[in-house]
Parts: sequence; C-alpha cells; structure tokens
Amino acid sequence: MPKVTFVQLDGSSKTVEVKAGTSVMAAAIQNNIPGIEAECGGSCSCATCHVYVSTADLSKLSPADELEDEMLDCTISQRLDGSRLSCQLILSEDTADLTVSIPEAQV
Amino acid sequence: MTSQRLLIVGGSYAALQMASSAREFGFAGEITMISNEDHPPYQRPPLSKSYLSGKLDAAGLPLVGDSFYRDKQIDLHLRKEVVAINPKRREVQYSNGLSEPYDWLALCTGARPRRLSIPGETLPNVHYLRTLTDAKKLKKKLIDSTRICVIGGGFIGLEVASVCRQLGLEVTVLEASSGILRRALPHALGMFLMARHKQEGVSIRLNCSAKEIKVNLDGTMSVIINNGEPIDCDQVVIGVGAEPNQQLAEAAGLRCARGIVTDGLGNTSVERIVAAGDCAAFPNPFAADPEQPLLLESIQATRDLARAAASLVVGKPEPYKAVPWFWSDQHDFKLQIAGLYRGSEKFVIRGDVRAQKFSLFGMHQSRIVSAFSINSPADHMVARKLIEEKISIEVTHLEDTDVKLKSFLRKE
Repeated sequence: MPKVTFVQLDGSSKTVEVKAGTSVMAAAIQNNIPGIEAECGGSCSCATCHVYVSTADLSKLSPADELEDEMLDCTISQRLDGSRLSCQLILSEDTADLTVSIPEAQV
Repeated sequence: MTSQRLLIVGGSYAALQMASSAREFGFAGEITMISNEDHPPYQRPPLSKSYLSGKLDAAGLPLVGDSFYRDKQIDLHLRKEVVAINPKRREVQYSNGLSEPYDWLALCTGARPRRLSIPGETLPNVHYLRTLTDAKKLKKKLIDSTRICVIGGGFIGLEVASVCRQLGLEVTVLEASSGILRRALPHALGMFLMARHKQEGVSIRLNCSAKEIKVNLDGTMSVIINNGEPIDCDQVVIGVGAEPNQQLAEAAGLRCARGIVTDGLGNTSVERIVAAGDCAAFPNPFAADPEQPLLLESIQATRDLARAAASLVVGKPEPYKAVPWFWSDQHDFKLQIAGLYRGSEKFVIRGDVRAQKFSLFGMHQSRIVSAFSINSPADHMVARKLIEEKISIEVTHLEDTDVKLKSFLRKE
C-alpha cells in the first residue's frame, strides 16, 4: 500500500499507509493530521489543503491541471515549487513513499 | 470550576465543528454529541456529486478519522433522539424518557428536504436526497435504471441530473418557475447553465410542475405534469429545497423565523443555548441588510458560525465575520459563488463566456458584492477578498482581463 509522510512546521512527522486511489488530503483527514483544512472536502474549490511536495517526489505526480494551478496562486501560505493541493494528489503504487510538508496556514 | 458539559444536538458539519473548535479553543469539560443519524459525521456535498457518480466511495466520506472522537474526548452517540429541551432546568430529554443536564447546549439540528405533497410522493422509487442512507439507496437504484425524472431545478436536482447523464441515463428536470437556480443566481447565468445542461443532453422543462407520480402496469413510473402530459421514468428524485429543523427550538420557546434566530456568535434568544448549521438564521455583515437573519445553507456558513459559537462557549467570543461562499459541480463545470446575490444592482462580465471560463461580478454602486465564477477559481478566491475589503473598482477595469484581479487588492 502507498505511504505518505506528513511533515509539520515543528519538524515532527507522521507516516500513514492508505489504499491506492486515496488522495493525500483524504489520507490526512482519515488519520487526523493537523494543518489540512479541506473545507470543500476535496473538490478543488477552496485551496485549504495546500501542501509542499518534497522536490524528490514531485516527478512521481502528474502535474497540476489548469484549475489547480489557478487555485495555487490563491493559497494563504506562499506558493513554492512544490506547492500542490493535496485533494488532487492521488496515491498509488507509483507514488510509493511520498513526503509532503504542511504550510504555515490554510485560511 | 466544576466540569462543564457542552451538549450538542446533531451529527453533521455544525456539530463536529462545534465540538472540535471547542476543544481547539481550550474547552476542558465534557462534550457529548447526540446524532439521530446512522453514521458518524460525513461529507454531504459529494452525495449528489462524486459519491453518486462512483468517483468517491463511502470510505472517503467521514469528516474525520474514527480515532478523532477518542483523541479529542468527544462522546458521540448515534441513532439517538432529543425530543425536548427544558431551558429552565438546563436539561434535554431523550426519546427513551431519560434526561441529561447541560451547561451549554448547541443546536445543530440541520435541515430536512422540503416534501412535495402530491399523490405518489411516497412510492418506493421516489427519492429525496439528504443523508448517506438516502444516497446509498438512490445510487443502487440507478444501476438498473435508464430514465430519471428530477423534480426541482435547484442545486441538488441539477447535480443529480449531471451525474445521471454521466452514467448514461435519460434525464428530465421539471422546474416550476421560469428559470433554474433562480434564488441563487443572476438570470443570465441561469440561462447559461441551462444551455450547458441542454448540450449535455438534459431535458429541462420550465414552468412545469409535477401533479402526480404514478406506477404503470409494466412497473415503470410516470410523473404527470401540469398539462396532463406523463414523463415516463424509472426513478424520481425530488429536490425542492430544505426546511430547517427548528421544532425542538420552537417548542422550548426559542425565537425562530425561517430558522432558529441567532446573532453572529450563534447565541439564540435563550441563555446558554447556541445554534449553528442549516437550522440557524443569523445576520451577515456582507448582506444588503446586515441586521436581517439569513439562512445560508452552506458549508462555509455552518463552519464559521459553529466556530464563533464555540468561541463564545469558551469565553473568548469572536463573532462571525466571513464573506459567504459556495460551490457546485455540474457536468464539466465548476460554479463558485462569493458574497450574496441580493443587493447586487448590476452585473459585470469578466472572462470568456464562449470558452466557458468567466465570472459575473455583482456590483452595488462601485463595490463588488457578489461573484459567480465558472471554471475560474482564481477569480473566486480573489473576489472573496475584494468583497471582504469593500474595494471600489471601475467597471471598465474589472472587464479588462489584462488587468490582474489581484492588483485591485489593497497592498499589505
């Protein structure tokens, strides 16, 4: 099963294992990871599930589509190279062990 | 101080937000959540969208993981009904006759689908959509169906219509008024959406009301419309609005209008009782009349009022102050709404209507008070800020897509 590691601002981290096909956002919600608001529940409507994907892992993911790209311009925390909306990141065997960092704020 | 008890009636967004925000703000007492549903709090918006289409399964619906309730010491009871409130004794009564005291009571009782009282409304293949149980049943029935009749051209009805087209069903939508989504959208945008639905193969019948639902001899059904014509189908979905669940509050003497009336902190007219969610009507600072209690029926309003009410319960009151926002997914377009439609005097179009990527901005004098975005999430996000900051913009500037919307925001 794919794994995803969430790194908090204070450097602490938690790794969770989820079913293939689960989004990084859903993995966070199901495992009560703090710092992912996901107000719209994962329909790319609110930009409150922003994460920074580690540089090494970026290439494992399909790039952001136009709507996600636009939303990323509107996140509360600064947009960086690794910025993605976690509701759009679907975990699979290909993504293997993914590491994402939680930004300072979502709302 | 002895341990306080926060008793929450309800088991959806408002109830969960109330409980989790109370803990987040430092509430150390007991939190008891009384839900009459079969499932712990789950997402409702996907029930008419990705859950119904099969894109999201039931495992993806819970709002929090199971361990959340244990970790946060939230005592969640399912399939349990509160039947009365005694504000003098600060007690609630359950359907089994037992009573329980509270120090703070939060009414998060939500809403129920408005029923259409016509003959045949209770037949087996006639559906209302509110709960996961409703959605599961409908989803199962859609598998063997080829034709569906949707009564009501509102958000639920049109979202169900979209999903059913994706699943390959023939879809007819009956709308009693002269346009779809009339309460929520400017007329021109309603017309645009209607054209899109038609392109996707949805048959929308305006000025058309259902008079009766009948079962035919071959087991199929017919919805009889006002001119007597039958609309043949296998399933009927009724989406004609919602009614706030305010019976408990009314019986206990709380002030109610359409919804339990609260202030911006969720305070009801009775001490130590707050309300939030689809049952609560509260004044909105961005409304044309900022004193008038409004029933917004949105995730955003629910979350933000529940947070405000939780802040009151812990003695650090932070009133509601958010710009309302809302979204809907239909076919391949995303509709996002910021602000409130009423109070918009004229509308300005920005973007490319033909490319189906544009926003309509509702103006009051020179300020933006509402924004309706189609496939333009950045417009929506910036509009929320423009409305919040009450910024004046020249119409010609707003129409000019070479000028970035962000550039109108006040620099920090």
